[in-house]
Amino acid sequence: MTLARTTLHLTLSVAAMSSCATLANAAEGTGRAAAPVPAATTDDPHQHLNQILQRPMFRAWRSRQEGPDFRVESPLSEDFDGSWIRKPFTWIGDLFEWLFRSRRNAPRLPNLPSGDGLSTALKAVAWAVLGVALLFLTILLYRVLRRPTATSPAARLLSRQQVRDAMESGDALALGTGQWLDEADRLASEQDFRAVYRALYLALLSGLHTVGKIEHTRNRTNWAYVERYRGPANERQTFGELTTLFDRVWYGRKPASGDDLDVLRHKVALLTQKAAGGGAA
Amino acid sequence: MNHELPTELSAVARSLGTLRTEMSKAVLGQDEVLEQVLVTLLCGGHALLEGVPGVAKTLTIRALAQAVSCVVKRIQFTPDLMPSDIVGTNVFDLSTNSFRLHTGPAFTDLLLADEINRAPAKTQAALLEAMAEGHVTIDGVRHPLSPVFTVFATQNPVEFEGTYSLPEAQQDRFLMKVRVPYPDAQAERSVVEMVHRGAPPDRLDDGTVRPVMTLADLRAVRAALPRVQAEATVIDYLVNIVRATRDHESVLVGASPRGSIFLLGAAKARALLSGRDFVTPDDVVAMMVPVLGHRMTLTAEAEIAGETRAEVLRSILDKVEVPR
Repeated sequence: MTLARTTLHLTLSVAAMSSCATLANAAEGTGRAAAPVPAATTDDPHQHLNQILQRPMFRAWRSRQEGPDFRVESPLSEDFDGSWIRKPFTWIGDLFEWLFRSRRNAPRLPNLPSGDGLSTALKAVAWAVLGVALLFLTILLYRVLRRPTATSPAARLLSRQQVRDAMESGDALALGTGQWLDEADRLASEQDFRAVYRALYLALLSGLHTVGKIEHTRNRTNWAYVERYRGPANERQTFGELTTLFDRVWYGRKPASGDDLDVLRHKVALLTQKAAGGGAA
Repeated sequence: MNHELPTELSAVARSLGTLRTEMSKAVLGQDEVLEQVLVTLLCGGHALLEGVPGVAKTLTIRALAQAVSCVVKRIQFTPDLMPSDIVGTNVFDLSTNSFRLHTGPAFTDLLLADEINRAPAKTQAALLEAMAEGHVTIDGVRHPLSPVFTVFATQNPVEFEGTYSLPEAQQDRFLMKVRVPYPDAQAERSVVEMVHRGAPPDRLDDGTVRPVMTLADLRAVRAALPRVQAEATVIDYLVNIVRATRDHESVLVGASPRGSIFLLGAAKARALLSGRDFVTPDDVVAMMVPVLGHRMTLTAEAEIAGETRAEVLRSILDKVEVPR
């Protein structure tokens, strides 16, 4: 969503610059009389092409090429230069060239004295539009950069539905450890003890993943986590005990009571703290 | 927190644990192989043990036969073995002037089919009916086999000379294909030291392995298997894995629904062997390669690229979510 909005803003900015370029081209046009178009009377395609390139619309372009002996190797090259991908950049290049061109090199049109005035006015408008576009881009960039990058579940408030969806999916990383523990408390108040065990186990996986003790993926079994646990043997043993407990209650549908919940919650919190280096291992 | 199994299942788990301990006295460093052999016995299926010569394939089955007090017969498969040598034949008895059934070694509780791939396909196929139906037909007459009839076949990899690979239909009759690897360094050293100290190489003749299970016990253990529970989400997980074998780009023919049924049975047996009366996704994963591996046919491209069935199955696991 944010990316789409940013893209839209950038597109608008480029469009604004392109408009400036159009204005610049218009200004160029006002200071130039229409020259007669040389007739294409030859059958030689190269000569024919060069005659076409003599037309006023191509003069400015030719003047930018390397010397007067410039020849187009293939008509395709012109198509490529004018391809839609390059057009905005060409326009912007033209705009800057026009804006920064010294008056000595500017086309002099003594027979049209008002042309210079109009050109200056258009230049001023183009500068203004360019300034506004640059200012807009700067503000946009600033807002994007100052946005917090942490979009972890813990960094945002979740709706009841989002928590419910996370619980439904069983994805441990859908919520932060604290949020899973809060959900466990809420489920305990509803006397849904089987779900409490599950929320606590997901809190454990989330916490251990956050501190880098396990690498959580949805396709790894519980004991694969225990086997790959990156920590001391006593922590792994505790992790194994908690996994056994979860397996029994969740897959084995063994009766889950509220009697042991405090102990279980304490164990989960303690292991997560230990794994994070916050307790004696 | 009550961690107790129901009383009957607890006794079953204990006797299985004892059986495993006895077998491990003779077979060192092959814990996974022992587990898979016991799962096969528990499920009432048949197992094909594959490995290079000298890694204790035959010893494993002999140790099992010694630990379970039941009738065990052994067939050494050779290129000239005939089907009648396995199931038996009617022989004319001159004294009674009638035909008398001369039963083959298939009439037993445990049958050890040693080096099964040394006999041609016709002879191997003689076991098909026995393994699938639990009876054999001789001269048009059906003869039932033992209620606990189980075949443990051993074979050397087909890359070795003088072997005939088993047809797919024959392989599919086996619940699992147990790959017997080389033991680890520590286990191998222990074996060498034992022999060095004067123990017999197969460690069976000196009474090391005691009989700890009767035929009645075995039947009771098998009867307990249906009491092992499997959550709907775990069954879904299992079915998703099997179905994924049919869509994998490296697989020409995926596992059939029979594969799903056998995989669930094996997972339940493993759970019971671990002292649980419920199946977890870990049970499914542990039994996946031995149960499904030989039920899949890889594409020619995958075979040429050197992909193995185990690798394909592991890549499938990476795409299936574990229910949690």
